[in-house]
Amino acid sequence: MFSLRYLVMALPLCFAQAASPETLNIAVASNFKVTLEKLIAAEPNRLNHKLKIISGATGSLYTQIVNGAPFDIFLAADMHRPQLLDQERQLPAGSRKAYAIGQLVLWIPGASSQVNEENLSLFTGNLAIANPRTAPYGLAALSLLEKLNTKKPRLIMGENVAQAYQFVHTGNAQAGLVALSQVIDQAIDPQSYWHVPQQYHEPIEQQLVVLNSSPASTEFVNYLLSDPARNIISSSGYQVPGNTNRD
Amino acid sequence: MIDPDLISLAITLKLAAITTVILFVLGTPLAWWLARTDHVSRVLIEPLVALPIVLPPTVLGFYFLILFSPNNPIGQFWYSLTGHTLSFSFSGLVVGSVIYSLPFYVQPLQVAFESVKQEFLDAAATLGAGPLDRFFNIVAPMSRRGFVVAGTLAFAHTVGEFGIVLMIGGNIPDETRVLSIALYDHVESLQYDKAHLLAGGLLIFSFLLLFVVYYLNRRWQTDHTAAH
Repeated sequence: MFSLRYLVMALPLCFAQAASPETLNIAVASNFKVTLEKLIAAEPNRLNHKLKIISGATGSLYTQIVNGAPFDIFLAADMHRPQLLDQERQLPAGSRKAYAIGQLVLWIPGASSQVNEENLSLFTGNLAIANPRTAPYGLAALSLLEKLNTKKPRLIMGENVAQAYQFVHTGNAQAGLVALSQVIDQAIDPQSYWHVPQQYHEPIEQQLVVLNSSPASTEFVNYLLSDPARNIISSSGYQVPGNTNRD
Repeated sequence: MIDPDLISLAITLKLAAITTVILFVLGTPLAWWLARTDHVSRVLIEPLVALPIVLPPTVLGFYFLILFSPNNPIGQFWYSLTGHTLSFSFSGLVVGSVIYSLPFYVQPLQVAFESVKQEFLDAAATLGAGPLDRFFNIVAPMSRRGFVVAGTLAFAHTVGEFGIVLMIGGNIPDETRVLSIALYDHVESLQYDKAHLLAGGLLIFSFLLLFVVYYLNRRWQTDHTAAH
């Protein structure tokens, strides 16, 4: 019992430490985690503060933030949650910025020739997509299916685009509408996926929001929007936003 | 148009009911065997049955996903038989739930069977009662408490299943979206009033179910002691 009381007493200390200016707590949407790690690895000297990366689903991270999680920067997978935080907290102008634009692909593993639009109209079987209610990639996938106006295949919904990928990867779904960043990260044969043109869906704009402004967080955000960082983001399967200021 | 959450409720109750019936048929002989056997294989079977209690549901979900995939023989066999995969189907959830809830059915029943004194069975045997006769007329009535506890726990535990369904269900509205998944969706999409309704409902339902089990358990225990 003593140890438990001790632990409860020590709890606020943990948070106090986490909020100290040297450590930057960065909450990142799972889909961008690998890219973020690449970005940090590319600039070990410049980012000399301690970075703590917390990854999760955008919705879960949002709920954690609303309930007091001590995050300094939130890299969301959509623009909706950063907008909500911006409004709720009345953050200073410039706290919210687009940092990447997700790209949708139709992936059919083992396709015998280059996958294209037609494969989708002819497709029968399980098609994995992310849940349109919670994941922007899912919404984009649904919008593509509606625009193509084909007979809808049986839609298997993953909670996020990572799970949609996993359904296809394990062979349980024969095809999936997943992220370009995923097929690039996993070195998938480009013949087996079709990069869906932008006009089929609203841009999957990923925004960041600075929750706790400090020199360290400003430096980090500046790096994320710099040319070297944009090159890494774009080679990881995202487009980079043209106009980075969003207010 | 029926409220999607009501459909989820129906799917959940159907899943829990079917799982409990299957466990009644398969789990009862298993519990009886575990209660009575001296066979050496028991040291392996007993921990195997208990595994779902300690394993994270993600472990089971991950292996089910691999097992159900048409890329391997078992998944392929099911696919050739039915024309669809076991993953993302109600049948797949039943398979997952039976494994997941197995210890919650078998363990209480095994304890009940173990408490049936061997002398009663031996006495019945000398009077000419066959094995089935002994089971249905001595063991089963003496273990009714065990059956109620086992059945209720298996049912309740299936209603409370989340991790496995999340991994193998594919969130299909009229087929695999059970209550816990619908709740997760509401929370993730910030629809907190709908989430509260489901979360509160599940909380009250689970409490009432356990309340009844413990109440019956206690009452039968007193009856039992009073009878001696």
